[in-house]
Amino acid sequence: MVNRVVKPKLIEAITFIAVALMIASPFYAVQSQYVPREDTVFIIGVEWGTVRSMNPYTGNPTPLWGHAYLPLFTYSALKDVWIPTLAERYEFVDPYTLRIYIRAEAKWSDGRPITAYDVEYTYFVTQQVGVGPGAGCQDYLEYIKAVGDKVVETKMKEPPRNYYSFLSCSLNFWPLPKHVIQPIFEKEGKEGITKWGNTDPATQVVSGAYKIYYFSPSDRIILMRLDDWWGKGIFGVPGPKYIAHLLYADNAAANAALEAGDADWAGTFIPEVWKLQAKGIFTWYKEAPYYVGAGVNFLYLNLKRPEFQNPAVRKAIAYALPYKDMLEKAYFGYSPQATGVGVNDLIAAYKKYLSPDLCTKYGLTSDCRFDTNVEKAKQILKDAGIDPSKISIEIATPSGWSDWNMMATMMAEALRAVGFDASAPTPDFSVWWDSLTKGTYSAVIGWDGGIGFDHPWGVYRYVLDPRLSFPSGNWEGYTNTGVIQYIDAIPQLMAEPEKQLSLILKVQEIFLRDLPAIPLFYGAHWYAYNTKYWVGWPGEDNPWWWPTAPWDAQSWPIPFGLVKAGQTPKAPEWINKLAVPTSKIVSDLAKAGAPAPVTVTVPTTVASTTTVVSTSTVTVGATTITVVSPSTTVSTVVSTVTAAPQTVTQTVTEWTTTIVLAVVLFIIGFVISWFIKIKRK
Amino acid sequence: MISKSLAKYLGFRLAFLLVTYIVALSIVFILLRLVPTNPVDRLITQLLQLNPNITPEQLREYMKAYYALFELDKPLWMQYITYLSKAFRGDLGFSYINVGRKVSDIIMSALPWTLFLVVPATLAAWFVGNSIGAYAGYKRGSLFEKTLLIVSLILSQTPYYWFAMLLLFAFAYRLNIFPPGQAYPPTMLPSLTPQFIQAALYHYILPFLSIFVASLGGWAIGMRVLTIYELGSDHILFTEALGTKDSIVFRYVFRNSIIPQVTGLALSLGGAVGGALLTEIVFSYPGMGYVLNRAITQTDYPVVQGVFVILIATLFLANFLVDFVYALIDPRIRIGGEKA
Repeated sequence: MVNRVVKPKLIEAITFIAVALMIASPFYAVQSQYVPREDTVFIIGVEWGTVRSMNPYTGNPTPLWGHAYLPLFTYSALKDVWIPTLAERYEFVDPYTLRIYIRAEAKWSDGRPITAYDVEYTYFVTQQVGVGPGAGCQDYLEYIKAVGDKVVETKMKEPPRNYYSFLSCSLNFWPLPKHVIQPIFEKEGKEGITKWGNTDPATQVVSGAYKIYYFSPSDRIILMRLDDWWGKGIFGVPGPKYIAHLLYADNAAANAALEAGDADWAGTFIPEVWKLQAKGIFTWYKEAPYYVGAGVNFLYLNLKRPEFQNPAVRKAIAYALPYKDMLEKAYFGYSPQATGVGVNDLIAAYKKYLSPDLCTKYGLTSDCRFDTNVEKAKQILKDAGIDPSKISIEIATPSGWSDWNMMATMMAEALRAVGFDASAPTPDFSVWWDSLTKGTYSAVIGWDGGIGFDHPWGVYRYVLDPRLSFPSGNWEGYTNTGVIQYIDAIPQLMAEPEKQLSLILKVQEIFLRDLPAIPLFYGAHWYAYNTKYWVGWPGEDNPWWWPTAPWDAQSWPIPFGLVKAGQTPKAPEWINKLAVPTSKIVSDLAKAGAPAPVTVTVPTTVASTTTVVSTSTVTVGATTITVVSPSTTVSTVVSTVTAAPQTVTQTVTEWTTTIVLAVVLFIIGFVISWFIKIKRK
Repeated sequence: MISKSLAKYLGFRLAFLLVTYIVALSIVFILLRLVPTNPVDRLITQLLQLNPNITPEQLREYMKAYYALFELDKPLWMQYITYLSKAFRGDLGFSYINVGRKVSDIIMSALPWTLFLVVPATLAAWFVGNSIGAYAGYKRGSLFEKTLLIVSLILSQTPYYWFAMLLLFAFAYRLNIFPPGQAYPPTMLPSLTPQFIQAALYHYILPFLSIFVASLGGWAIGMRVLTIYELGSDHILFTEALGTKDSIVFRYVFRNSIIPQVTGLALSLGGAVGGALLTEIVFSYPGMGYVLNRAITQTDYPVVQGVFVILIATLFLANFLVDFVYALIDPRIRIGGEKA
């Protein structure tokens, strides 16, 4: 009978201890600091689920990483310029060799100088791991090496002589502190460096104006300004003392925080964003399209299917689509219709790649867009002798991607009006992706490789290159190998812009003739800001910086232009002072001497007699990702670095955390089981 | 001294435990891999959408590196063996989507919040629900009982996540009385200061209420019925006939009818480690449910596996230990073991 008395007491005691433990445990990190609201920029729309680490060797670090680590040069698409960041200048030794001079004052946050050896070693580790700063660059670079404490030398690989990749791999490079990563890499190898979190405030060493302050993977990340950072004489000191990012359940919850004034800088999709202007929340443009469009989104038709192999079918579809209506209703007007040649004309610097003559020749409007013209679509089909009712088009979009879902529905409706047997299924993302991987889809909405200084070449390469296949490009399975010579030649002609432009127009002509994919709209570069606590945000009327989305690592200058609400903002002067236009780099390259002439046979007119895609014997596109040149591992890079041990026998088990976890859970499990046993008895 | 029969009994239990553990782990492993995509696809999608200018070469390198790193290039049976052996060593591995992040780190940062939210709410709902349920059963036919029955029925049939959304809408977005989510204010960092605890409790009220109120009704209804049964039993009738005070009778009734409810409590606490999935999502509460939900949609195998390994392992181990203790205390169980 003693049992009767003891047992409830025991249960109570255990329960009490368990509850007490639980309540106390979130606070084991005893830090009593506040993050004052008025000193902090709160970001939404970057991290979901868990906060990613700050280690670029994961290939997938949190983009907030960009505030802590700076590149040698930063690229801004808005004015097509490069900002010397860690570097102070570049110099072409010859047309194949570039020297980058790192600023004398550049220092890591622990006081050590940033040197060319950091760059060299960072690249070396990337080569070993496969991901990291400069991943994939080995196809285009002979080497990146230090030729002095502050001088980095990079050499272009030839072939393929790709100046776009050569320049972006060299200039747009993010070095890491060698003295931090070397011990990890040499001791623990590839595995160790991938699993390096780099989120410990005590040990993190950064090159930028912010450093990690608080990190909890399931909750939030906070960066703190380094008031005494090395670049304050050049770039000044950013306004916000803290940059914080909290995890929200979904877009709606995050947007609610923005609306309530709990967040300042948004990278989320916001429905009807114009309604927030009354609350002091704005986007890049004050009216439609509100956002700057970045990459082009296409309607990809599966060219392996015989019914889509006739260009007339694709053109008829292009004329049948209700661009304006669909973008207004499904996309809130956040993007205009994309140009029919895939060039983003929202960014002024890229308008030069459009040719009204060429566009009108192929039946587009003078601003290079397809009309919505059902009659014309029907006529095209009639002329080609095609019965649309025998062609079934299923425009698949992943379930839950509501804007795409609605667009697909509207497109299907419009296509039915022309006579096609069209529908818009919404499978689960995994099924959708699987159908693309296996090539079993009918039609999908999809994206391209995004926007960069290789625009529009990057788009054409992504969409047209028959050597690529999903997901790295050529979703539709275009097999015209005739386009390869242009794709390979354009990047070689960096120093000869006119010749380059003429080749770009050649590709456009092929694109318009074959129309392998139909450009729909520009994927919006999500960016909204709240002026409640911070002002000075870049926008159309104050266009001092772009990219602006918080999930873009090259948006790091934005905090430098922010001041507290009530003060007068001033756009950072150093941007215009330091900016080097791409055209300047091109002319410097031309001055460096003439590279060996490019051997491309450029026919005066594009052969337009053959229907290109009908030859299914060409199987280049069907194989796995085969890219320009065979990848050779870089073993000749440097002499100063020693290879890390390749095989690491790691039997480290996280016993401390596991045990603590087990103990807490065990207590709870024990209570539960005890209850059950009482009942059973 | 552990007798032979006891050792035999425990050995049998241990073997049984081992088999169930492996089966449970295997089910988790297989279910995850039935989804047609793999984590690398998810990662690649993220990269393609967020990186402004990712080149095909980069993608190729990334995919190669990820397949190697996650060991997805190895045959499935090898992955399975690695997974099992790690599960037994207590190594939860590394997240695939949040590359390189330890699963144990993620769970450690989420679990306390979940327990903090679910356990007190469940206990409180249990306690209050049973008290008023018992009282209603005792006062059968009164206005209180009738009202309670109707209210409880409605509450117990209300989906708790929907109720949570209503609370959020009314008190956070319309009335602005409570914060609209998170576990503590954006401007604070966890610490053991009174301000922080106060703020955390303030953020705690709505999620707590949503679980508390939604599960209250169920307990009350159950307890009411049990009490009514108990009131009709012979020994209570006899006690009443003896003219015992009402309060004492009530205590007897309560004691006896609570037992099935204890089992029910145990069961709902058992689910606590998994988190109040939807409540946490509605309130952006940084708990296990939120982590698990994201991990499942992103096919982040190791995180999902980690959550389940912990759940399964602790429950099994605790069960085993209870068995062990009972076997020591109660000879009948040992004898039962002998017979088996």
